Amino acid sequence: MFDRHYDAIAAFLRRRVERALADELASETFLRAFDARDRYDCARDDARPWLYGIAANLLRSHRRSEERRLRAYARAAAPAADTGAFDGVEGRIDATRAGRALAAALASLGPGERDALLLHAWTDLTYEQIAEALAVPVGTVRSRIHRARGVVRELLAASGEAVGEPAIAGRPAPAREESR
Amino acid sequence: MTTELRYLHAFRAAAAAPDEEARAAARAALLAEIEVAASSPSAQPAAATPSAPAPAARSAPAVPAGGRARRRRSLLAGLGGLAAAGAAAVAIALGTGVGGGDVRPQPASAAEALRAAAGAASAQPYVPLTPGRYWYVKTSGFGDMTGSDSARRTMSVTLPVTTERWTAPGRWSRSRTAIGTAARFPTERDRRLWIAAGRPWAGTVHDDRGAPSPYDRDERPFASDRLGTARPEDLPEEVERLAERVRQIADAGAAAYGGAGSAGREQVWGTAVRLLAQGDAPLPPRTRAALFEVLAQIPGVTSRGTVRDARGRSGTAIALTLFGSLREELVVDERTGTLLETRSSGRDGSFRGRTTFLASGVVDSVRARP
Repeated sequence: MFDRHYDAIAAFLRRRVERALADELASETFLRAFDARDRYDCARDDARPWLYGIAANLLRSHRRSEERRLRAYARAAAPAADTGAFDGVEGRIDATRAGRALAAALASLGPGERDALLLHAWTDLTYEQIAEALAVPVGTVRSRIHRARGVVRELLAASGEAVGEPAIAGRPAPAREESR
Repeated sequence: MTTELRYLHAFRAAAAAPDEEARAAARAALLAEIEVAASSPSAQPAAATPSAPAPAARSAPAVPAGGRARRRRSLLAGLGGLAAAGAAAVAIALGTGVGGGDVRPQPASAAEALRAAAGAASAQPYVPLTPGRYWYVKTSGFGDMTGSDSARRTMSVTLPVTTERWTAPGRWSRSRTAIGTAARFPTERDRRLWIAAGRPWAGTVHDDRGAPSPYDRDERPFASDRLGTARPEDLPEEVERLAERVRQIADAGAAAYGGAGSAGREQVWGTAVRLLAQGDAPLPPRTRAALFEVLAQIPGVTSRGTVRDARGRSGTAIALTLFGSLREELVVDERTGTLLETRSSGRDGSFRGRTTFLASGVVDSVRARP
């Protein structure tokens, strides 16, 4: 299970918090999974919702730190100066106003909304699996994602990025499939 | 795909690149944990691998979510999370004779003792956990700390831990954890590394905040046990219905290994004990009474007569041998229907762990005590 899922879990965490913390939380996710192994239902064919759920839960303890970084990033005049918060090298999208708008939008979301939206955007979990990961009804997941996307859309539009014309064509897909 | 999702897809995508070194470190940490679980005094006798542990490998009273894991993490992050540990950590058990000495072995009917406890419990007053108030639990026991030094060498140490914890539905929990200095080690190497690292954790006190609990995800006492949104006050008070519910929870635990999906008496015992420990919220007196009745129905439960717990309080020792090798013991105050302590030992009487329940109650604010 570790070999199959570690990279995906670590990737998800690294996109949300600084690298050192993300790696620590990724490690912790699997330790917790091991500790809780007697509560895991092996009849389920996919361990990912369970693992992402643990990871999301761990992130909750670092919610303030995550939001602080996102806000700092949103305010940063030049993302290059923001290496402390975001590990330096980022994709081009991050260097744009859209990146800062995204950061602002994500910072403004409630933790439940942010979790649902990012699981939706960065993993290929279904709505049902996200609901399982976050231990909420699937209807709640749908409404959280709906609202969160609305917030992101609004702030992107406000930032002047043409929402109809993303400037990210040709960018590599996020590394969300790599470990399975 | 809509635009905002495409932006999101690209956002911080570069940060997601795999990292061999971090993966190797995480794998080493996991393997160390598996080793510790297999050999340490943490009441998880024989889990061999993370992917295919045998159902029988786990002692029944499960470590609550956030317990050991949070302690371990504290290693790296300045001991932030010892908190959740003690509250309901019934898995941290202890051998016979360490701490409270036996007073006068007086074998009696375990069922009789448990029914007496049930009767006493049902007569106790009940203060439900209402909005705005906190559930306070104080326990003492032992914490297994595992982590690595600056050279990433893994070490483990067991230290006495006293934890006070304040929880409320949907709010951040708080805890204060005092760690003692009387260290025990799985191996001599652990001792060396721990001393060389400056005896981390020993003699320290930690204030911690935990994610909203108990009704939030892992911290929710019953959600992870397939009770869905059940709250403590929603558990059946009628013995047969509660027994059925406990069996359902235990079945879910047993099924977790892809096993028969049917809980043995070990899982029923462990589940009932965990509920009785009231780690995250108070149970209504009648529910606690019914839980004692459920324990009384478990085949093989015996009484060892009157003993004293680690604090010198007198109670009846109720014992069950789990999986043929692990002896779990409860110290129950029959007069009040209170669970005083859980202990466990190897069949040879060797120390496995202990959790002593020192105080609990509903309080008005964080840091208040009953």
